[in-house]
Amino acid sequence: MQQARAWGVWSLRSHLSALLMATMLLTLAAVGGAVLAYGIPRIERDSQVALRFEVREMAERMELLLRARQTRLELLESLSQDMPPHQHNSLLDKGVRNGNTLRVAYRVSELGRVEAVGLPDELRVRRPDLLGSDLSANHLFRAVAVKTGIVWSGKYRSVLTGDLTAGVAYRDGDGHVVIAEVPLSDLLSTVELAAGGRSSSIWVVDRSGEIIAHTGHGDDVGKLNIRNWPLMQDLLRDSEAVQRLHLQGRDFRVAAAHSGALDWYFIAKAPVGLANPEVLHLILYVVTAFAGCAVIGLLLAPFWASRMVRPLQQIVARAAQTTAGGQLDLSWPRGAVAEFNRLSSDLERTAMALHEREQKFLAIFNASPVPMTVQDADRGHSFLDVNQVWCREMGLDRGQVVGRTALELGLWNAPEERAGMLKRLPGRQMLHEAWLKRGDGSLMLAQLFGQLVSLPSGNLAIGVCVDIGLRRRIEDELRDLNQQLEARVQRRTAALAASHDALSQTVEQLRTTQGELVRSEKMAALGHLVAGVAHELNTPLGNGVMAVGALADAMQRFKVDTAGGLKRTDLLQLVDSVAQGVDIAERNLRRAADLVQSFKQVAVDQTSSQRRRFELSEIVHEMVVSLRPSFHRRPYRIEIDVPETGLLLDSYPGALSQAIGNLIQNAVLHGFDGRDHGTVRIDAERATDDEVVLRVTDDGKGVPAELLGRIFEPFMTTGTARGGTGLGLHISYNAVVNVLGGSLTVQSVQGEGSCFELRLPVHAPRMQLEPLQPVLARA
Amino acid sequence: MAFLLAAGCCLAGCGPKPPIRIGFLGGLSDRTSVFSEDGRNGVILAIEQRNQAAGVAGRQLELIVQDYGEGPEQAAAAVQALIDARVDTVIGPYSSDVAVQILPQIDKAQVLVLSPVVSAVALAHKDDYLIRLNRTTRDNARDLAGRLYERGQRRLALATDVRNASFYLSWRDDFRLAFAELGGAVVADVEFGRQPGTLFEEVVRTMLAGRPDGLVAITVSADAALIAQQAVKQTTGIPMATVSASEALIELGGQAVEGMVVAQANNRADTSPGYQAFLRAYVARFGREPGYSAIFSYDAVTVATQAMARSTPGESLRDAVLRHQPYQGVQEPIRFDRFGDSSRAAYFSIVRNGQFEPL
Repeated sequence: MQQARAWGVWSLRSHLSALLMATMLLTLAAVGGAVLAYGIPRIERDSQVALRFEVREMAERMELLLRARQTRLELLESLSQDMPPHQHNSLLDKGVRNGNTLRVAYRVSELGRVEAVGLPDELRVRRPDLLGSDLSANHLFRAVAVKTGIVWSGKYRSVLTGDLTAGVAYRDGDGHVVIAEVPLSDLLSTVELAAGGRSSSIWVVDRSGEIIAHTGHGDDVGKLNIRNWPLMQDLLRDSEAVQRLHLQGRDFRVAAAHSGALDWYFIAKAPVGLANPEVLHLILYVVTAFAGCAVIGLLLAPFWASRMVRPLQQIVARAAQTTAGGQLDLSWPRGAVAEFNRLSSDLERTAMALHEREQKFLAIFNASPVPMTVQDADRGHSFLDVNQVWCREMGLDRGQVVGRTALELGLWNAPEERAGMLKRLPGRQMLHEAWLKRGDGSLMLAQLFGQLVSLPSGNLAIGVCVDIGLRRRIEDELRDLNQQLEARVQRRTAALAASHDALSQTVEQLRTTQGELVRSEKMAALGHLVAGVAHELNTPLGNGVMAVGALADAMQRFKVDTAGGLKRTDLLQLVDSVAQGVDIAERNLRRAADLVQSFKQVAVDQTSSQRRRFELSEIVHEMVVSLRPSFHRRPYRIEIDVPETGLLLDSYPGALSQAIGNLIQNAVLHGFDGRDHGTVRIDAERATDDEVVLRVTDDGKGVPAELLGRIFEPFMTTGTARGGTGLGLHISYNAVVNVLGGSLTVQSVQGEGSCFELRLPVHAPRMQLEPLQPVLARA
Repeated sequence: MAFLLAAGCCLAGCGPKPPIRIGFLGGLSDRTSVFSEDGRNGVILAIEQRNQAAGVAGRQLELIVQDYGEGPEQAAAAVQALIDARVDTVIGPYSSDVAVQILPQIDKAQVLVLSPVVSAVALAHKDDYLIRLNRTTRDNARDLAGRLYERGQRRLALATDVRNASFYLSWRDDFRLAFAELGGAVVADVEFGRQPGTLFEEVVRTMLAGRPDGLVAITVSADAALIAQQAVKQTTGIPMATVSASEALIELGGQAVEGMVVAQANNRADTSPGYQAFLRAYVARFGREPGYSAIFSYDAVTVATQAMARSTPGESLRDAVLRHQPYQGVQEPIRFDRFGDSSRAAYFSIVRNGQFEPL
């Protein structure tokens, strides 16, 4: 976004144009750059080769020119040797001809005196000047004097004019020297002609570094002396010449060749870089191509871009039209660009969806049962919309309201409140109560609810205005009713408290009665017990008495029998009778003693809350023994399946035996009532390490199912008529649960019998035993 | 802003200063090109040496050479080219004719021209932009006339080259006047060079027709040598003199110029360390010995550069040259009068055994 701002915001058309342009130009720049990067060094290399070839060719051409002149000079000398001296002038004249090849030729004697002169026609008048002149100081003459053959000079001073020219001297065998002057201009123009239209600029430089000719429109002649330049120094040393030259702020490539005869150097120089026409042309081609493409791009890119963008612009226009609330059913534009078509379809769907949503929200708005408003928070809270309920509530038309403020509509009963309310609105939510004035002038107490909603297009205030007049009235009534209700409740509470007290007293009385009944029951049980014990003791004691009686009878009979004398058979009969009687008496007395002992233990246990350690079997057996008289002469059996040892309890044996006793009594009294047989089975086993289970089972009538839940309740009995108190099982239950800390449950199926199961902790909880004490004390 | 200022100061202070452009105006493709070439070499040497010594006030010297070719026809264009190149000063020309011709042009452009060799009287005593380092032809002529008169010559035959008329004709006229004042007579006065192909045999014959006791060649060395060649062919033992000397005289003259008296502006026998150092440097640079135009041109650069170095801000170069004199030339101190004319000593040589020897 920041970036976009930095470049400004462009239209898509501009972007596309720029993209097309940039792509094209960058491609061209890359390709052009590559062409230049490859082409320029290649051109430079080729130019250097061409340059070297050029100067060599020029030097060779120069040598060729000079050789032609030299050959002519040699020919002249050899001819002159065969001719008489007076013909020498004309011979040399012929040799010189028009002066183009050789400007003047003269034959010099061994001493340096000019003997013959050959001149072109126009200079022939000068012959007398030259004939006889002394050339002993002439440097060609001097140079050729020391050796036979040819000597060339590139800086020969013309004997005709004093000009510097080229000169060649040939010395023959007899000391004559023929010297010819070769016009420099002729040589140089020939060379220049040979150079033709080549672009390179070639210097002809003499040994002193003076530029004596400059081809290719150059004008460096006379202006420079390059003798001390590294280039020239290299050439003078015959070493490899440098290939670069910096002159007047420009760089040149150079190539040099040497012409030996005149000791001239041909130095060609060609500009490097942009100054090289080929390089320049290449760059110009590239730049032209670049510029051409840029122009084409500038013409084409906007056209193309605008063609591409046109569908999008239509879509944008259509979207703007839709946003402005235009017709929805108009078709959306389609074009040749697939993405634009998709965009168009998407926008169409979006517009439809938006429209639907708008309709939906409008419906919701109007369906709202509370009056709602939408206000423009940025423009004085003028109404943007109100729903139908609001219109109805306020008695105004929507057309009257939209665009105006509540103040303008005179809705506020106290307009100054409005400012206060709006001040709180920026806190986004507010609740306010105010009196509003309806369209018909009536007042309405309204609760105003407002919420500020920030949208990108501005801030809206959503308002709800609820008429709370009715609600206020109902609330007041409710408050009165509540107060009345409280008074009634207080009165009822007092009555209930009184009833509760009365009930409490009744319960207390009942509880006392129950205690009395329990004690009576226990007393009755004890009575039974005593009766049983007496009965039980009666038989052995009776037997004992009977045995002792029989003994006494035996003694009496013995006495009678012995009165007649003692006979052995009488004695033996007495002894048998005494032994039999003693045996019977002893056995019956022992049995009585045992019974008393056992009974005593039961009595002790039952009459004390003593806690001790005991084997379960002991208690069961003692209890059964105690109860046996009750079964006397009844067809009922008691089976005991309790291990002799292994079920050691630390508990209250009195309570336990009382519970077992009551259960057995219950079976006999109720289970076997009216039946001629019945078996009570007592079995026990260890349930866990800390718990022992004891079951008392009978095969009697069983307990009706409807009584099963209440069987341990006090006074719950079916046999009240037969003398049951209805407390036996209740006492057993209390003893097991409250004293022994165990549980007592019953399972019974009517007609099949009942099973009472006692679950007894091995260690009974320590607690007070109070109910038995006074009963026993009295017994 | 501070950065720009600093960069500006740095550029101004650290960047290379613009060079001092020194124009050279010579006839590099005419008959006397050797003379101009010598002068140009002197200028090149002086500039190269000065540049090696850090230039003038840190500014390097740049040489811009313009050739006026065969003579006055091309001179105006050459001068204009130098003016267009905005030269600070011009060394040259090497022909009095050219100097006379370009004088209005340089005065108009107010370009100071230091001419090492021109000596025409026509150029002297003028309040112009031409500064001359050579003495005038009048001085030369007087001196040579006096010297020849001393050597007992009373009847002289003159051969005058008209191709550098301002120089040679005024030379001739001054000589005639001076010689006449001394009591001598000019018995023949031949002018040549009006047409190409001068036949020197006829020139000399004409000179000798007046039975002179001495010949004076008022021309370039080459022509003087050719005149001498004709003289020895036509007569014997006649003393000869000429107005300037270069190696061409001996090379072309051979035995014919033996004994010739030569008026020279420089002392060939100078053994002073300054001259010897210059001589060595020149030979090392160009591979040949300097002519007097080389020495005077070297001096001209010396005058220009020293004046520039000594000048005060706002002072024109012309004023500076005149104000800050004298200058030490290669062979002698250089002083100017208020017209920018200099006076130098005259040196005479005589050719003996193919060499110039001081007379």
